[in-house]
Amino acid sequence: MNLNEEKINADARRFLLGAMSDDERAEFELAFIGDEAMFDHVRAVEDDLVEQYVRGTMSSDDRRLFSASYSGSAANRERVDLTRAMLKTVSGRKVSERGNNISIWESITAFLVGNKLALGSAFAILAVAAGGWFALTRNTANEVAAVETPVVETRTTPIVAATPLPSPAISNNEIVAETNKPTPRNDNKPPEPPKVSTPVLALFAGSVRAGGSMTQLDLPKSASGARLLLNLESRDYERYSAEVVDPDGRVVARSSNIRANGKRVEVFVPASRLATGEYIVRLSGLSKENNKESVADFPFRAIKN
Amino acid sequence: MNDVSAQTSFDTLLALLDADREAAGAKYEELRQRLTRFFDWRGCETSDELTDICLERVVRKITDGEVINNVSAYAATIAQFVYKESLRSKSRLTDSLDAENAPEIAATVTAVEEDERMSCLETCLNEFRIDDRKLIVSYYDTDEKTMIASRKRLADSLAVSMNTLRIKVCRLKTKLEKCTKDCCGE
Repeated sequence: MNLNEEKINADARRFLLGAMSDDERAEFELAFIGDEAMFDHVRAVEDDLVEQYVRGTMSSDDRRLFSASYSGSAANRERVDLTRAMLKTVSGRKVSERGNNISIWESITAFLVGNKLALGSAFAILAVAAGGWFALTRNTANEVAAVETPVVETRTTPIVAATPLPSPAISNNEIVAETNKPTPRNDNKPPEPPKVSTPVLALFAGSVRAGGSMTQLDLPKSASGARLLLNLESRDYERYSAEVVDPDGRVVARSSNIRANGKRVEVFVPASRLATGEYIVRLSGLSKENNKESVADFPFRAIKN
Repeated sequence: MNDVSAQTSFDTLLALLDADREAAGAKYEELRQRLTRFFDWRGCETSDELTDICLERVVRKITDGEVINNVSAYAATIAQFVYKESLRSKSRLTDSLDAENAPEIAATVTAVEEDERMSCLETCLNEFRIDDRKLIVSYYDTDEKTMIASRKRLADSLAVSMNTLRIKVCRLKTKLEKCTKDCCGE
């Protein structure tokens, strides 16, 4: 690598970690938009960083910077997802290409993984059936349902309290998480920080169930935040904004310019913004004139463990 | 701007990029990709739309008679204006996030979508030329401990520098991403 390439790579790294001053960043952007070769370098550094992030080999400082700088756009988050999936696919090929040299241990692992998937599928079918039963029996469309993980996103369940589990994509892909606590080091194996869970809570317009209970979000200490899936009766706007309001009427989190996915709007609320207590998500639609129009309120109770 | 003048201006834009129309089309797509990534890296959720706005403005400037010598540099400057304008009409959740409380980048797909994506990835990989497929699999088929040495060996076996290898794999990955997105209907 020549000196120029080294400098571009070092600058690209700082750029992607959000570590450049505004002026330096603007100058760097002008340079790579105008120069295809330089853009290629930046893209390659981006791939390196995403891979390090997914493999969990990034330093904790860089990891924090990268999360803050890179998580803003859906396209970036999708790139992280795709890299997760790609590493998984490639490692699957690796096993299959070993052919007859698969060890007993690998056979056992493969058997367990296979059965885990089978069990998971069976559970998903049961969950969908339960959801269908509940959908038929519930009284109004304004009831609230909670989901435990994205696997069961499709079900509506009469269980109000959700026990958050690590999201399957995280657990299946063994994505390692950030932690400030030191992890005991084993000379033979790289340290594996604990996994982060991201509870998912589905909310339906309306709010409180017939029994008067409120949908509950159990937020474990390890959670970086929660994904709230706001289900709409109809999708009347191209864009939405959401505010999470505490009992004193203070807005603790806000997200604007959100696109609905079908009849669902998804918002991520950082755990640092929530304490144990009741909250309301106020969803507004943005009219073509860019005026905010109230759509629905989605109350929930957060329990921080 | 009527359709005819817009088309003429667009033709002029292509001609500024390259005298050969086919090559100009490819350069236009490359410029478009760079602009889109610029908006992505700025954390914009609507990068495609902002890129369209940016390129439409370049075309409009040409219609207005502005002399543009370097289209890419000109588009880059306009992109920064478009980005600043977009900030005025939105405030993002992530705006208020600093490095201390930034969330982990969680998976954005459900388990079912993930299965579909994995299946599409396999399909797309199988559509690659065998050399390209071998390259991308060999590049990523490594663990953290042996990664650097393994990639160095791979670069040596292809008689290219590590940097060239990274860029080549990056291009293949971009192609794989596009194929996978198309396959999943995203």
